Amino acid sequence: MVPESRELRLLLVTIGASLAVLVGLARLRFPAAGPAAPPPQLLPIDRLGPQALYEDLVRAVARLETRLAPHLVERTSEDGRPALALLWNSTQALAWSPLPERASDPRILAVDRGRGLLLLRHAISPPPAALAEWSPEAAGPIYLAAAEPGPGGWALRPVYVGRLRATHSTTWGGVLAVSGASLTPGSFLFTLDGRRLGLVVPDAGGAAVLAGSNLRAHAESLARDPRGAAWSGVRLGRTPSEARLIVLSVEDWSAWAERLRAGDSLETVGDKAPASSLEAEEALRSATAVAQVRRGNARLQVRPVGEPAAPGLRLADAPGGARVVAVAPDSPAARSGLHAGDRLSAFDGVDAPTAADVARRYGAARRGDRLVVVAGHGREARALVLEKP
Amino acid sequence: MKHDGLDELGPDPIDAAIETGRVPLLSRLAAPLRQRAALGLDPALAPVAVFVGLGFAAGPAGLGVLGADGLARLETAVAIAAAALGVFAGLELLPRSGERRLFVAASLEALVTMAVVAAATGYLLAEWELLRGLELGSAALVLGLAAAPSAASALLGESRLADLDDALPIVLGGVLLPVLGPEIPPLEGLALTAALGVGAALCGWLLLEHARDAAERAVFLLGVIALLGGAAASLGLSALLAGLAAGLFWRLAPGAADAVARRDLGPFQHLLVVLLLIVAGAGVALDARVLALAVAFAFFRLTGKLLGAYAAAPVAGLRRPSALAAGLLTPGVIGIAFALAVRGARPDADAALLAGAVALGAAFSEPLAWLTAPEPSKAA
Repeated sequence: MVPESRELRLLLVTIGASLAVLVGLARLRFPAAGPAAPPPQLLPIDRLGPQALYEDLVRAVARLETRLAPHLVERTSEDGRPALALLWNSTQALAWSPLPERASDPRILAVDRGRGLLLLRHAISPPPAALAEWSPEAAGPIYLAAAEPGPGGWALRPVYVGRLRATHSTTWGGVLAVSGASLTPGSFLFTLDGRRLGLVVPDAGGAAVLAGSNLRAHAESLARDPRGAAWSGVRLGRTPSEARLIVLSVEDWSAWAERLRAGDSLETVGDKAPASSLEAEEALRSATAVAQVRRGNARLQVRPVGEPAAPGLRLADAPGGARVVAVAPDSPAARSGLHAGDRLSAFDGVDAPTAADVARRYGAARRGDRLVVVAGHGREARALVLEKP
Repeated sequence: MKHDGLDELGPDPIDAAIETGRVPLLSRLAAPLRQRAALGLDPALAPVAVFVGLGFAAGPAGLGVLGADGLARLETAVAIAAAALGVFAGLELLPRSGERRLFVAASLEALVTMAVVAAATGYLLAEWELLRGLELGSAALVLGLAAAPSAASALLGESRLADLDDALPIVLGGVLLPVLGPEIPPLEGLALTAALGVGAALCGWLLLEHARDAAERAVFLLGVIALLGGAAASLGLSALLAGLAAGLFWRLAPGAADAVARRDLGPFQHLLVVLLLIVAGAGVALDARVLALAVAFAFFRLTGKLLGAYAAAPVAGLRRPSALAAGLLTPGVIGIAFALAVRGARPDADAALLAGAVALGAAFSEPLAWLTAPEPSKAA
């Protein structure tokens, strides 16, 4: 069955012509595509919702832009690029940044360096109507509008995100995984009716959507823990009249455990009357803080448990080894991996050390020395290295 | 050419039914337009270029007679039509006596065509940077799979080989579609589709075997086909593969379910094919990108079919691969149905681009098939 020579020639000519056509066609160039328009037809039968004509999409995005204008704040990130923040309430805005922001920036109220979330000061009056949240159960596929920063101000871009699928992220907890869309971390996503929102964050090498409900949880945690690592363990809130700061709860590992009680009215911290719960929680982290509280009819002065044992490390004596009550962010203790609530079962060769043992051993060490620490939480124990700078 | 080895395999019963020796003049003139779209279908007058063109003219980009709303509602009908085509294919899939070599040859030809079209269009898509979210490999595979099926022209003798080259693309398309749509892993998608097809076929078989009369059987059959198409589209699975599994089940099951399906679905085949072609044409958003990709699709389909014919001819026992390639050039509506299914499962700009290119490319392929058709004596 050897092909005839004519057949062989035809085959060779075809291959040659095909390669030539391929090279020729490859030279064609097309103008850059505009915004991803939906196909003007064919919704699958399980998605026979409102039809997604491109014109409808454009109109919806234009309406949404007007609605979102009071909520979105333009800013400049640390590397000088335009960025966006979302007004979270009447005084705070939320943003994501790929770089650790300057802690000295007066607009920054709180930073979560691990995740890149920022809480910014941004007062607006009157506050805009609240946007609804977005639960991770949201399903797709759907068109969304992405608010993205640009040199000329922010703009909305309609994007088809494929499908939204709730997945677990080790960095963010629950996220909505997206497919079929190019999204920029730091931009905000909205449903076309503006009733649902999310923040695009990097996750597992790609982009994911941090749903509104999850974003709120992160924002509240950030507000409680302005430095993102060493919360005092005291939750505060305002009375309905906003006249007094009330202690809502005290974690049992906190330096203020057994000192402050839920229901205490906080009057001053370090001789100052705090203006906000955030400011009060910040002040309660101080090693020398003295708080004045009203408990019933009594007025009390209370001090935190524990004492400074090393820079940024407060310990309280406890059976079986000192308990870490506070670790300052960016301190040698924080860099070693110590957390508030850890119990030290060994410190530089001393078993079950007291706070005084730790202070003594740390003081005796030379700059650059690496001290081995065995710390644990419950039954878990881990070996850490604390380097004296 | 007709006698190049195929005589050893016996005459094709469908070709025999055409009675080419006594065709009236009008039928002879229409012969190039008569083709069958899938295994088990009789030749019907359904030229791709004509109906895709009509669909485009009636669609949103043309006169707007068939608007976006209407097309969206036809999506269900398209899936059901694809399921019916799959059933036709499944009923005839089992190689007849002496056809095993032909089946291998047809699958080999389809595979080579698929590889050539996927490689060439994949390269071009990468160079042109046309895709906005769909992965390049997936897009190239969609085009390759859509290019592989051939329609058996009433003019030519290689109709059985052209029929059998539908099977592999249907199966591979059934694996790819769930990955592109609901992102189901390939094997899981294949298993789900097969389970859907066999499950619906089992229900249909029980109903058909216990039906009291022909009218009841017809209602049950249409119900099962609607279930196959609707469920597959709803789950983002391949209606073609689900239909193929159902057809195969009926073919293998005892009783007369296969004969009933052949008899009762037969009258609808032309309507189904025309519907698919018109919807495909109406969905074309004609611009330079779609046009360029369609030209590339048609050209490299020609190349792929020729190379495929060279690979398949020795297996099938044929000596003139070029003649075989000419017989395989007529585009199969199975490829268009697959492209429509991709657009249904993933309604974004990329899928619309691919479906438009496949519809237009198939329309371009048809005149190429007529131009390269062998001497008129073959028709007689």
